[in-house]
Amino acid sequence: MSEKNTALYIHVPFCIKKCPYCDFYSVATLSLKERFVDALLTEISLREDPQSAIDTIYFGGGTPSLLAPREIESILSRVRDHFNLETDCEITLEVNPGTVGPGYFDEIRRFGVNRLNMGVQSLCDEKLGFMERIHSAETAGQALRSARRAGFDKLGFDLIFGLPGETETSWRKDLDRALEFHPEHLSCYMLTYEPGTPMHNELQAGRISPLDDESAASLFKFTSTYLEANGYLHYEISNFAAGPGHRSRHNRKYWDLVPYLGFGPSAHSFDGSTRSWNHADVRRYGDELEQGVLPVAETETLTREQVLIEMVMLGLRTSGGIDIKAFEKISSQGFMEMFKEVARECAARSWAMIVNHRFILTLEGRLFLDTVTSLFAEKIWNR
Amino acid sequence: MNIKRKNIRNFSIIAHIDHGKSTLSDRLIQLSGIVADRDFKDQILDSMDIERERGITIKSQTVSLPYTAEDGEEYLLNLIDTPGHVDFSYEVSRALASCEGAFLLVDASQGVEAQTLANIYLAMEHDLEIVPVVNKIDLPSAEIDWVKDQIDEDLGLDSETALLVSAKTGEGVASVFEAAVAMVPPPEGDSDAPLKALVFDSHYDPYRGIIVHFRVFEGSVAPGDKITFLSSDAVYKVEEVGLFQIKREPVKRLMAGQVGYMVAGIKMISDIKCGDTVTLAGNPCEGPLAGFRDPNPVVFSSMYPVASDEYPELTEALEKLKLNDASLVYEKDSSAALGFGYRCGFLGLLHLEVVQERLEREYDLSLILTSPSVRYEITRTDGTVEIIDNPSLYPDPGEIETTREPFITASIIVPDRYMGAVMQVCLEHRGVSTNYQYLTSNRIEMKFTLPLAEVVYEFYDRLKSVTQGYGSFDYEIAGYQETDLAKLDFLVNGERVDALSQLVHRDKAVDRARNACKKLREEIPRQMFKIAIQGAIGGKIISRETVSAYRKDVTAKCYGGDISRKRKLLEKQKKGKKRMKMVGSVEIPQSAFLSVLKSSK
Ligand SMILES: Nc1nc2c(ncn2[C@@H]2O[C@H](COP(=O)(O)OP(=O)(O)OP(=O)(O)O)[C@@H](O)[C@H]2O)c(=O)[nH]1
Ligand code: SF4
Ligand SMILES: [Mg+2]
Repeated sequence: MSEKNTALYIHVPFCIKKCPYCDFYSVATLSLKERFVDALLTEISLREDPQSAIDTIYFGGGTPSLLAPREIESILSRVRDHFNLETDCEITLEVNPGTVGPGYFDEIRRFGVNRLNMGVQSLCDEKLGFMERIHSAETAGQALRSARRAGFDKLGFDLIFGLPGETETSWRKDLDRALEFHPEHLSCYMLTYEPGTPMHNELQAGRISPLDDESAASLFKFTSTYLEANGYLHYEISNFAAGPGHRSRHNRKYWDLVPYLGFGPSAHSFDGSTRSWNHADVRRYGDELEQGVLPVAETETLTREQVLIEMVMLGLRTSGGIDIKAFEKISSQGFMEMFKEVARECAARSWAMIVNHRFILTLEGRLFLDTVTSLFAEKIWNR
Repeated sequence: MNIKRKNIRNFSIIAHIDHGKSTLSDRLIQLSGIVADRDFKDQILDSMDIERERGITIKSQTVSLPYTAEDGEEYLLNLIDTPGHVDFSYEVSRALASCEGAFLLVDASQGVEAQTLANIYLAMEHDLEIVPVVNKIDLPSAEIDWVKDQIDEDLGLDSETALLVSAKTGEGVASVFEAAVAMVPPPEGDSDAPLKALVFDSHYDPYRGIIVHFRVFEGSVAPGDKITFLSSDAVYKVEEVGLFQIKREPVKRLMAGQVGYMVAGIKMISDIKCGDTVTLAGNPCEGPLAGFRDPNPVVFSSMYPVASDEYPELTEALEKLKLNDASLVYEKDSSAALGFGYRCGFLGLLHLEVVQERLEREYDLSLILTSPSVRYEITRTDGTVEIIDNPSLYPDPGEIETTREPFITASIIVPDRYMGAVMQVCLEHRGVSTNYQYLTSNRIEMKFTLPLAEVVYEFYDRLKSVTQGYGSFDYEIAGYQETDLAKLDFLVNGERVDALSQLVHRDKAVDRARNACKKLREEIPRQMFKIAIQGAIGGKIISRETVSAYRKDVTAKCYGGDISRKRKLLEKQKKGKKRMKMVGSVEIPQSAFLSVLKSSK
């Protein structure tokens, strides 16, 4: 199953400083940036696809806003040389508010970036301090204003909640400050302690006492109801859009298992049945590309079972739910026949509903996402 | 090799655990040159994974060593390395039945210990020539004179004849060969008489069928012969006979006095019984050999496959394992919670563990074992007496007049600084101290009478931990004493799980119930609903714990780079799932069933 490429992801593996909760691949030095950009340009050329119909490009990281505007320009022009871009292509750049100087937004906008995802994380200095971010609430505010001034009408914010000791009141204050900027998109992430991160180590060592389950759950529910009351669509577990047209075009492709190409260290690519990923190592990435080799670390071809599991795992995250017809096309077995017990359990707990041939988690059900996913997965394995 | 009967020697190496039997066997094997240096590894006869991991011998192993003695003659020395742990003494007794002699090893630093004595009695029962060997003389802590005194006084052997060796350095090892030639009598028996041979072990080979391990007492056997087994009457044509020389080494014929193996395309497991007599179908011998006495299991537990549809596989695995572990006894059993399974008897807790591990490893099964129980003697009000080892058969308390439980005499040898701690552990387990004696200036032997059931309940672990591994523990069964028993049941969400029931001393019931409920709470993963775990005697609930329902998930991001990783996490859970058992509406992991026996100390 090889469909047309429509999405490109570009991983920029540099940060000013590693945040203690973050498990994305990046290095806290810029010394390899030039080499990286050269290698990236090579990778783009090597993976060229004139048959593509690219309608979204996403610069993620790390901190893509550490790229100079002319670097972004050369990357995008290399992309245009080797891929076919749709006229309304959405080009998103993730921005760390602590990295941008005056004029930055005007320039990148000129080169074609038309959507920004701002790594605000919080507009409360105390929380920013705990997360050891490199910017204050004030700096973030300035960056947001200058982005607007530069004409960006698609702004997304990343916010993190559920820090130790966080209450509904403090979180609501944070949210209210963000809402003052009328972002078109909001990603609200519950703080998670990912193995291997310093924050996880702190937790293990007992130096951090995490928010208890109940409070975390009620913050999650509050976020959803509060933002929906403010006109946002809760369209994925952690994502909210100011209207259907403001949902992240790019990220939705991941959840819908649509093919994408990823460039840069650690970036994943998917062609509908095979997924591969690059070495999470800038040096190795550079070395291999300098020798004209694609820096692929691993490739896996999904079995039918694995495709089904991913459809469930990702579908359950979204407000569109699992597309039952699409699922049955692959499973060649009735959805209800396979999952009647799970569906019954979920219905009994008001965790899910079936609307228009879609199995959709309710807000309550979203609290048990992993549980429901593994119930589905078991049925898939045991069939 | 054509060897005369007078040049054959059959002997076992016996000793207390860890006194160096397998290491001495190593040296003898190396001296004989049957294994190339590059193929050699330490404790080469301990070929099972469990033996190598635990560093102990579980199975007796035979190896036939060619030896040219100082008298210039060629000899064939059949050596059997035996296990030292008390749970495997059935292996020792069967090995001895094929021998004329035994080398009794004594560790020069430890001296005579409980299994030294137990094994010398076994050897005497078989009328064997016993040669004492003081091993580990290289150790700085070796006390050769003290050990020699013990050989004279405690063992009643002549220490003048004792060999002094170090199996580790090889010092004195050659003298073992010479002593075998000089002191162990050659086998008797007439090679021209009708075949009369004893099956002392066997194992299943997927390509060749059952391989029979046997000793020829009279006559001889060669490929092409039609043989029969006296107790099953089955007739087979011999395909191959041979010697054990680490590998199986085919020979033309096995004669009276020899120990070896036989392949005869045997697929019917029920045709082969340990202790059976083999003879020629056309020219049978008169009557069977004495065979072996039945094993005497002391610990009982039921075994169920985690996947109920694996019951036929379990059946087949037990049959095959029984070929290679004659001490295993089992019969059909069933449980409302776990379906069909087997009630098995073991010679001890280590034996139980080994059987479980072998079934899981060698036959790729996933098993649930119920709480081990001892055999209780119950006298009903109507005067009838019965022996019960299965909680599910425990009568209504109203019908019980008296109950008696088995006791053991335990001997614990420790450095004297641990005396207080050991005393404490024994008292906690209803032990009564009977006496103690100093073995050396700081090693002490303490004797206790303890209920066997207490030893089943985590006694070893506690002893090991309070003595930091320096305690040696041995026991013998010491008869029945009256006791006050209660049947402890466990309910999971109101449903009694029969496989968790235990028979316990009434004074301990509340503690046990609390502890078991706590363990179950830790073991049972959260599920859709709250799970109540209760311990009860009769209808009375005496302990309670709750497993709360599924935890709410902390939501995390999931983009292009996260998908594979998240899916793999799910796939990892799947592996864990296989070892879960649905009981009513609750999933109970395999590990929960034995966890109730582990105290939380
Ligand atoms: N120093 C020294 N150590 C020895 C000697 N013989 C054996 N050992 C050590 O004693 C330990 C036990 O040796 P094994 O040969 O496994 O003892 P075993 O009698 O076969 O033990 P089981 O089969 O479990 O009853 C091992 O660590 C050996 O290395 C010896 O002569 N000198
Ligand atoms: S959170 Fe963003 S800025 Fe912080 S280390 Fe991770 S990628 Fe870099
Ligand atoms: Mg051994």
